[in-house]
Amino acid sequence: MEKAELAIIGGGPGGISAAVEAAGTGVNVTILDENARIGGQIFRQLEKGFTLTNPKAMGRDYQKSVDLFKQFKKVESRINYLNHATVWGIFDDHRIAYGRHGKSKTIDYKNLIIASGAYDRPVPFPGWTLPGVLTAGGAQNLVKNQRILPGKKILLAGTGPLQLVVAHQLIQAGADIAAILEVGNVKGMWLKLMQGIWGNWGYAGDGLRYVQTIRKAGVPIMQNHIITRANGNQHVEEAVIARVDEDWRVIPDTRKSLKLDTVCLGYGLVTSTELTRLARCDHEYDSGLGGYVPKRSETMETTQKGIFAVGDGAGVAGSQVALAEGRIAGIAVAQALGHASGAGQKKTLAGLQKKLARHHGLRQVLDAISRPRPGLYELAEDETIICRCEDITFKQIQTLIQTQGISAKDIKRKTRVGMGSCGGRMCGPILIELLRNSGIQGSGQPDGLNVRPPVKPVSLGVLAGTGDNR
Amino acid sequence: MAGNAHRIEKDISRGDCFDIIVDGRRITAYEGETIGTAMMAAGLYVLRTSTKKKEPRGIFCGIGVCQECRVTVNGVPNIQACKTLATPECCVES
Repeated sequence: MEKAELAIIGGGPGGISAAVEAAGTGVNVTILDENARIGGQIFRQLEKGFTLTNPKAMGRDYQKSVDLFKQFKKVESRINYLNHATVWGIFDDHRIAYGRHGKSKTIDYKNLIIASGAYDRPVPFPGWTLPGVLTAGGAQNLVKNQRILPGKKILLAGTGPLQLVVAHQLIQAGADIAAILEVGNVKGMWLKLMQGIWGNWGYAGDGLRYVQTIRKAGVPIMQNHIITRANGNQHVEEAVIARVDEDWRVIPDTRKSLKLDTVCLGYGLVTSTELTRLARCDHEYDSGLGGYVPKRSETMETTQKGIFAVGDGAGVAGSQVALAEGRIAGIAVAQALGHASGAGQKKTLAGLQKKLARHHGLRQVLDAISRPRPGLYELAEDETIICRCEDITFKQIQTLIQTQGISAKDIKRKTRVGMGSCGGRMCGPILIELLRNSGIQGSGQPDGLNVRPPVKPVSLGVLAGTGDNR
Repeated sequence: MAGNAHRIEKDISRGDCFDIIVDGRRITAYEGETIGTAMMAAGLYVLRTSTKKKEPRGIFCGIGVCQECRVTVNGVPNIQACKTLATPECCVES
């Protein structure tokens, strides 16, 4: 039986900064990370085999990641870093179960920090399952880390600044971008944006640089536009786009089609809350974000004592917020375990909270632009797939919602939605929005789509191969 | 029409290159590339066929969440092509 004073799930900026802070005071830390090496999504390190010939090409995030990895190196000897570790269960008696190298193991913790990250919001429309239609985060991973352009002629559709980042990276890599569709309305937001940017100058500089690259490449940024359909046989060949109103509903007679070979969807991120839900932490619906987040104290502790949640998995706000939240939680754990006295950290904590407050201002402005509006979930047609794993259509789900007005739990029972390999990560957020739009689901915690172990696909062989007889 | 993926040469150098076998066909992969990347570079975007509607599916989330890219590697099913590194002579069934 392994033991840890602090177990951290996730090796991205939130998890690693928490580890650095806690291990620095002498806490015994174990990190469980699905990836081969630390970094998570945003700070992902290049695989062995690739050598960077121009480090500047990786941008500002890369420099920040280098700084974090240096800090990690200093305390590495006090951290038990488990790569390729997939956590599939969190149990009441402070125990985690995980699969690693074909075996299932358990670890007992005193404190737990969940830094599970986020992924692109799934938005169903006809043709969204065609090969060549992928998420903006996926495209970014391919270009940045695998050094491959997914296609030649690319459409970016979605909302928010991440689209500009991805467009910038694609253009730098030599892609031809057909257009960038921003479904939100940015025009009326300039004054607010400037206020939000106040004190967040790094972002403002980056943003300007991205827009310059996009303008120089002659790529149109089309506001209040959405993709309504992707057409093609074995691969996407054409996208239909249209103008939308304030509620992101398609305005009739504004449709037109674009020839292309790739579509990147970037409608913001949704939190990975499977683990905090599994640990039975209380969650609330964040309408600015359009999704559920765990309720947290000022020290990032959830409603379950000793379980903390940090970074994008607890409320999408980017790597800088994840770094600050990770440090706050790391310090809180060190204090709770008696490794650190309050006095030494008081100034650091005050600085970190101030930083979070500054980011919060910017976040509110960005959310005002990108908060999902009802029209986003009205693009699906009868035969549009909602659940990719089990091929469940919009019609199957909508019929149950409209004729029977039933809950997510019953829809799951009747259709198997949420029961496929992805564990409801794709269809779950869609189902919640469909129910919210129909007025069935309020802002409380969703009663359906409960999570149960295993929360990630684990083969029976791995489960059976456990060395633990409990 | 298939996609038009191509490897980016700018600012990067690659390591060893080797063959992998996809549905009986030899394609090139470089050290550090995932199976999904090597297949994409060879114009192979369809990684699985959906269970009921028998529709083509490819890389969607690209970060190991959606499970759309599951292939069989050396006889082991349900391997995520977007996360799993290609190894010399590995046998992939889509």
